[in-house]
Amino acid sequence: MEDNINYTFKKIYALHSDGIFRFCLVRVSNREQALDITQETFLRLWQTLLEETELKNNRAFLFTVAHHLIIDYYRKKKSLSLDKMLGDDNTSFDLPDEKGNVEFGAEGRFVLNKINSLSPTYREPVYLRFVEDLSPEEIGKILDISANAASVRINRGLEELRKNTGYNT
Amino acid sequence: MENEKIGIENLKKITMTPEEKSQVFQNILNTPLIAKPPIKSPYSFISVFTRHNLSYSLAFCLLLIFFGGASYTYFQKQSLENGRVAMINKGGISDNNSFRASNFNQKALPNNLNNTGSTTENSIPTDTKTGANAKMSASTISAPSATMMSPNDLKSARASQIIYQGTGFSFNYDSSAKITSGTLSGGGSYVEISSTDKYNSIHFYPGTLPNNFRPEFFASTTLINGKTFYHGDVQTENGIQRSYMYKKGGKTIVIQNDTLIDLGSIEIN
Repeated sequence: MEDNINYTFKKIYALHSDGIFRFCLVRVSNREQALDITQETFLRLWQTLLEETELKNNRAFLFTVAHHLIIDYYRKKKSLSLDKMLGDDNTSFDLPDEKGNVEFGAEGRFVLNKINSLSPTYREPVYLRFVEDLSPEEIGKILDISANAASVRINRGLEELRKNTGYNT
Repeated sequence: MENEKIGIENLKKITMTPEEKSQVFQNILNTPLIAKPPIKSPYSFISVFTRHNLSYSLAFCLLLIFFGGASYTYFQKQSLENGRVAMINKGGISDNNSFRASNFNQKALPNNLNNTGSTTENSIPTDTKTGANAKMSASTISAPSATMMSPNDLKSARASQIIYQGTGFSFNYDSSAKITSGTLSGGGSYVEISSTDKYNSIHFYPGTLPNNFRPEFFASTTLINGKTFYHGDVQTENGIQRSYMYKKGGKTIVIQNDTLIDLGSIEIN
């Protein structure tokens, strides 16, 4: 039974660990903190699997847990807002290319800055839709809103993003 | 537009290094799992009492009800008509059962304790013969008469040995008192004994008591000279007056006040 859980967990971890880490890194702008939240997220998954709780959508579950852990992180760190941290050059997140593994080009940084400049309502739906390729239904579950509301936020966020980037011209 | 896609692709390339991925995985597997107890619902019956201040509110309400009831009972026992409050009993005996009456009209003596017969001599002033209910309507109650004396004290205070031999009963009464007798409309006879500031009456019923006698009024008993007297108290303008009832062989005597009568000497013939 436990071997089966181990196998399932390994499979889920291999599939979604990078996405969860990326989501956390973009939100908290600190690589070590992102790793901690990622670890905690998968620990919750591990506990859930041991309790033999049926998960209908592993990815949505992981993003939901990560989303809540990030909220908890900022609640504990009340004095520093995400916007402030992102706007501070000294606290910008460690780029993957600094670890020598992945190149993080100027376009990526540009798009990320534009996504982060979106209003908070649209920031996460746009990111989850276009970077993590989640469906509006999954985004709705993660943000605890309806799929329709998620879809509306994605479209409005995309319009705002295009205005900011000028790509729609 | 192309740059946007390139940017998103760049974002997707943000990943953990293999070392980080392996380390996080090992950390997860090596983390001792602490069995957490299930979170109790905040809306369960017990949780309401253990987790919320509602328990304090409930306790406060219960205390309020308890002390409210106690206060109501206490002041009902101690109060006068129209809600006036007075401390009546001062070191004397009191009838523990009389407070069960919910109002003063119920506490008052039954109507058939009033003078219903015809007087023959030394008639009592009308306002003193109209019964306990009428007496209670007076606006003041004198403090000295509000202090009760025990039956034994009254007995020792009476020195008279004059025997009144009425129809069916006899008793000793104070020699300074005047006596009036008559017949009751419902059958039986009565005797009224009065002095300057005191008044007693004895009603004698040779048969069954009238129906409007309330048994609960005579709920307490006192043993006087080997005789068991049932008694109850009533508040009048002259203070608390105690009425006694004595039964023997199907005959009953009801005595209102015993200030001029030696209860121990009462005999039913």
